[in-house]
This record gives sequence, structure tokens and C-alpha cells, in this order.
Amino acid sequence: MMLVLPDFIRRHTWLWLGQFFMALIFWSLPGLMSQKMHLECVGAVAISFDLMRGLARSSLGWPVSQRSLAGQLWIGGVLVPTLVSALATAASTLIGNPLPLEIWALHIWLGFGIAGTFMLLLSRMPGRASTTRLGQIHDAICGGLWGLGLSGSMMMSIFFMYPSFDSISLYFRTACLLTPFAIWSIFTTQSLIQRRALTASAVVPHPTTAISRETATGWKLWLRLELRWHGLIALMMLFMALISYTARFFTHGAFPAQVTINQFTFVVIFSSLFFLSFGVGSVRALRALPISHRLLILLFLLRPFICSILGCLYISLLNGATVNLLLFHLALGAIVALGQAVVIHYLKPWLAILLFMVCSSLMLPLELMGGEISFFPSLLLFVIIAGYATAAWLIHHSLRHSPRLYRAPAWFSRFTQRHTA
Amino acid sequence: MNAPAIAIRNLCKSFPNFALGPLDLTVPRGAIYGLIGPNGSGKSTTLDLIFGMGAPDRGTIQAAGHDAATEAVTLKQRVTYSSPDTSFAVWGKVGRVLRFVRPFYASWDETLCERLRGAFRLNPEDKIATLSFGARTKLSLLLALSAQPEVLVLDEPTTGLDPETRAILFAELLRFVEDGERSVLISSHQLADVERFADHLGVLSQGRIICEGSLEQLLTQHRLLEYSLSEGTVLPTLPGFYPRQTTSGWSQAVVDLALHPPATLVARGLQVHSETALPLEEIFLAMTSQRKEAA
Repeated sequence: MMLVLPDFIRRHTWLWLGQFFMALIFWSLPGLMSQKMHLECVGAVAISFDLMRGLARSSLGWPVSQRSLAGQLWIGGVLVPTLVSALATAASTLIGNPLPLEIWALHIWLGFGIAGTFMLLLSRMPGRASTTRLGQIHDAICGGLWGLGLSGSMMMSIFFMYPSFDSISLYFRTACLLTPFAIWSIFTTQSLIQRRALTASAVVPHPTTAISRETATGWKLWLRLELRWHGLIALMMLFMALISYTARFFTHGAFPAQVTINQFTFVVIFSSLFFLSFGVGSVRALRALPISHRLLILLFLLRPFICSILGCLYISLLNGATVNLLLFHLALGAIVALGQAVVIHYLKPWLAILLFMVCSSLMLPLELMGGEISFFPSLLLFVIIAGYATAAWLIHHSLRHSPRLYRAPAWFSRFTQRHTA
Repeated sequence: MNAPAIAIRNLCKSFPNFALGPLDLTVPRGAIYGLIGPNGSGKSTTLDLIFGMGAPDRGTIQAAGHDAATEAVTLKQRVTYSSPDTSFAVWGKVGRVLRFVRPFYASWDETLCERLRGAFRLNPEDKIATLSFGARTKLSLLLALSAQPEVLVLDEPTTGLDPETRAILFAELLRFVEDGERSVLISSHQLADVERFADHLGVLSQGRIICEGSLEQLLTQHRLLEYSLSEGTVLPTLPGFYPRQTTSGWSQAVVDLALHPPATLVARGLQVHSETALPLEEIFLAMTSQRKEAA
């Protein structure tokens, strides 16, 4: 029964509209930033959030075959964003940026490849954090690739900013490379839904509950949990370094390739952390552990902080270190920490998507200027302090389950009653 | 229509750390069937397999006369599922879920849906993310019942429900099966509820059905015996004979009298001093603890 696809399209109307208008703006206004922008990943991102909110399990009883359900979601995740993108570029042609037909067709082809590859990556993403070393490596690689693609597909435009680079040829080669992955995704979507829906997988212990509580409580337990996450971060850094050096080797050190890979490193790690830590509902599991709320808050805030430092070190090794570079990375870490807290508190997918886009966009000027761009250090300091403080406040109230924000009107009401009496 | 509501034959499914089956289970038409078992015994896996989540390694599943492997869609139009772990947060509000799920079922009863929605105190404008655990269970039950299926499969239906809602639910279930054609399969740990409302029972332990039949028969044939053994007699481990730990007095055992009639016990050297009827919970504990010890 074709009820799932119309519902999926309707529920994410805002996403398609956003994709349409963003693409329209970027394709019809030459000189704003660049002319090319790919947002076809939004379909897979929307499905990933639907799955996180229990779509697979709730679909268990629907009178729809697994194949049909997977097919409808694949159309929603791959064909719909490709179509929206095609419409946006067609509209931009009408508005005043005429596009040769073959370039338009190439754009649609590449869009299909990007959207399909995202669906394939999504089907390999972990439903819960793995407890085995091999599983963690697999999760880190998939999470890393997911983040790389998320940022990368949006920023493919960077290649078009260098006239010396044969961008059409690159587009064509990328489209050829991604098409098999896109086709492969047709066959993996069904297993993705099944894996997310099976309760039997719940038998596998969550890493937060797998740790022995008999031998550790308080900060010792916190340290063990934290080290597990930092093990993953280190794995992701290694993975990114591998990709970076492979890309350098194959592009013969071409500047756009270096820039593109560098700028993603940071975003990759955060996006991986997002999907690894929130896809598994670890907040609830963590709350039950014998750890104080302060340590739990630290647990969530330390990860983006450490990522900031590592990201900064990584880019410093390539481009040279500056104070601004460090401050800039710490500010990005604060934004991600805030986004993380917002997602924990409100579970709003669009906020997370917005966060990724902001981070990706912020990385661009930094990389283009080789870390020499001069931001106001005081502004960056303000962002760092305000970001981390607000994030800590949000997580604190999320853990307590009685946000003061909600209590404030009641307090105000009692206050006014007392004084009017 | 004498075919069973659900017939599972020789079902096997292996996971890295768990194996289900070989499993045979029969839910008679018109019955309220309670499927009970300890955590991790395979109840939810069995229900998942009925609804096509994962392919069985071996065996067949038929529900409402349809094969789960070849007629999955028709089966799911006639068999609905409710579980507290189904989340409808994707749709945001109660009203939107109802609007989405309704067109799936030709037999959807809007009057019943509205009546139950009122009884469960669910407002169409309620945000699902802010619903309590119990309210989410109610929503899942509302959807499953309103579809007016031939077979209703409920996984832990009373978890998180207050006594009033529990009473409403069981009244609805009794009304649901009163025509003798519709059936309910309840998988639950709430043995008191199962004992009160189910008329058939299956006990699942370590992936296998260790006891199945009418509840009345199960309660009648299992008794707590106080006994003493003749000198020099050693009792081997017997199926249907579940010894209990006692600190003083006579030895005690929960005994399946169908397998071990009093005359057989006397012949084995047992002197029975008393015979007491037991609630379902005690019988269940005796059965499953022996399986655990044997494992």
C-alpha cells in the first residue's frame, strides 16, 4: 500500500522546500558563494531521524510488505531529493542562469549518486554503539564516511571555484563512481529497516550498561565511559588521516582536494558522535548510572571539546598553528556542544541538520584562508563560553527532567499572587 | 472455521547468543492466549517472526489462515500488533498517527476508535513526545483494537497502565473475542492479568514451549504436594516434577498430576501428605526454575 511515501514526503515538506530554495538561491545567484550546491543528502538524513524516532519498529504491524516499505523509503530518500534538486536547477535556469542540457543532466545524475550513496551509508550505520573492537572500527568508518559525505556533498562547489580544475570531468567521474553505490542501496534498504526493528538485537548490551558497576562508581566509572568514547574519536582521526593522505596521493596534492578533505575532518567527527551517541538513546542509559549529574554533563561536553583540540592539531600540522585557529575550533566545538544539548533536550532533527550546515559553512572560510582569517578573538571567546555554558544548562535540565524554564511561569504566578494579596 | 488463529510449526531462528525453537504453538480461534516466559526466552522474537521481522531458519507460521512468509500483507491486514516499545514519535501528534494508520485497514472502526480514545484520555492534539509511557502504550492499543482484526497480538499490553485503564482494556478484549471468531495472543510478564483473562496458555523457556494448553487444565493438573520419601529412595529428575526448597517439615514439589498420577508417585516410593492448588505464578516459577537449573 503506497501510504508510507506520501506520508514521508508530507512530514518532511519543510526539508524539501528548504532544499529547493537553498539550491535555487545558490544556482541562480552566481557570485554569492558558488554556483553549485548539492543537498541531495537530506532524504537519507530525514530517514535516519525517522528511524531514530522508532519508524522501523512501529512499521512492524502495518499491512505493507517489507520490500514495499523499503522501496517507498528508498524513493523518499533517493529519488525525491534528486527530483527536488532537478526542479531547483530547472527553475534557476528559468530565472536567469541558463544551464546547458548536458550539464543539467550530469547534475541530476550526480545528485542521484550522492543521494543513493547516502542511503547505502545509512544502511551501514550502527543502530546502537557497538561493544566489540571490530564493531567500533566499523561504526567509526561508517560514521566518518557519513559525516564526510554530509559536508562534502554540500561543498562540492569548492571545485568549481578553481578555473584550473576540470570540474566537469570531476563531476562526471564522481557520478560514475557513486552510481553503483546508489544502485546497491536499493538492495540494502530493506535490511536497514529490519535491523532497526528487531527487538532481538536488544539482547546485545549497551556499552554504558556493559561496564561493570560493581567495581566502579562516580568519577572512575565516568572515566571508563569517557575513555571508550575517546577511543572512538582516535579511530576516526586515524581514518580521516588515511582518507586525507589517500586523496593527496591521487590528486597529486591539488589544493582544492586538500582543502575539501581538511575542512571535513572536524565535521566528520562530530557527525559521527551525533549518530553514535544519540542513535542509541544513551542519555537515558547514562542517567541510570551511579554518576553525579555534574560528571554526566562533563561527559557530554568533553567530547566536542576534545574533538576541537584534535581537529585543531590536525589542521595545524598541515597548515601551521595560530591562536585564531585554536579559538575558531573551540568556538565550533562550543556550537556543536550546544547543538548536542539541544538535540538531547528537544530531539529536533532540523536543529541537528542546521548545526551540521553551520559547522560546514564556518569551516569553509577558515580553510580557504589557510587559518589566517582574522576573526575577533573576543567574539570567539564569547561564543566558546556562552556555547558551553548554555549546553551545560540545557543538559542539566534535561537530566533533571524538570526544566526551570517550565517552572518559571508557576513561580511568577505564585509571586504575583502573594504580592497582590 | 476450525483452523487455529495462529499456528506455528517447527519454527527455528538462531542468533549469535540465542536460539529459538524448534517451536510449535497453537492459538485456538476465539481464545485469549497468554504467552509467558522469562526475559530473553524468545517471546518478542516469536512475535517479530509472525510479523515478518527477520526470516525464520526453519518452520512455518500461519495467522488468520495466512502464511507469514508468502502472504505477509494479507496477514497483517487481519492481524494487528501492539507493543509499548513501538514509538509513534515520528508523527508528532496523536491525531496525525490516527490519520496515518486508519487507511491501512479496511475494517477500521472509527466509532470504536473515538470511544477508546475518550476512555484512554488521548487527545488528538497531544504531542507524542510528551506522552507518558502508559499513554504511549494506550495509543498503541488504540490503533491495534480500532483496526478490528481477526487476531490481536499484544506484547506486554498492561505495562505502565493504571488499574482503571487495565480494566477498560480487558473489558474490550473480552468484547473483542465474544463472537468466538476473533482471538488474542498476549505476551506478558503480568501473570495475574494472564490468569484472570486468558483461557489458553503457552510457557516459553529458553526458546522452547515447555507447556501449552487450556489455562484451566494447567491450573487443575498442577498441584503442590507435600511428601516424604521411603528410606533409601532417591528421586531422579523427572519432567513435570519440580521439587521446591524447604527448610523444615515435609519435602515439597510442584507436580504435573497428568504426568505423575498419585498411584505412580506412591509406586516411586513417595508418601503424599497434602495436595494444594497453586496460582499460575507459582507453577510458572517452578517450571522455569527447573529449566534454568538444568541449563
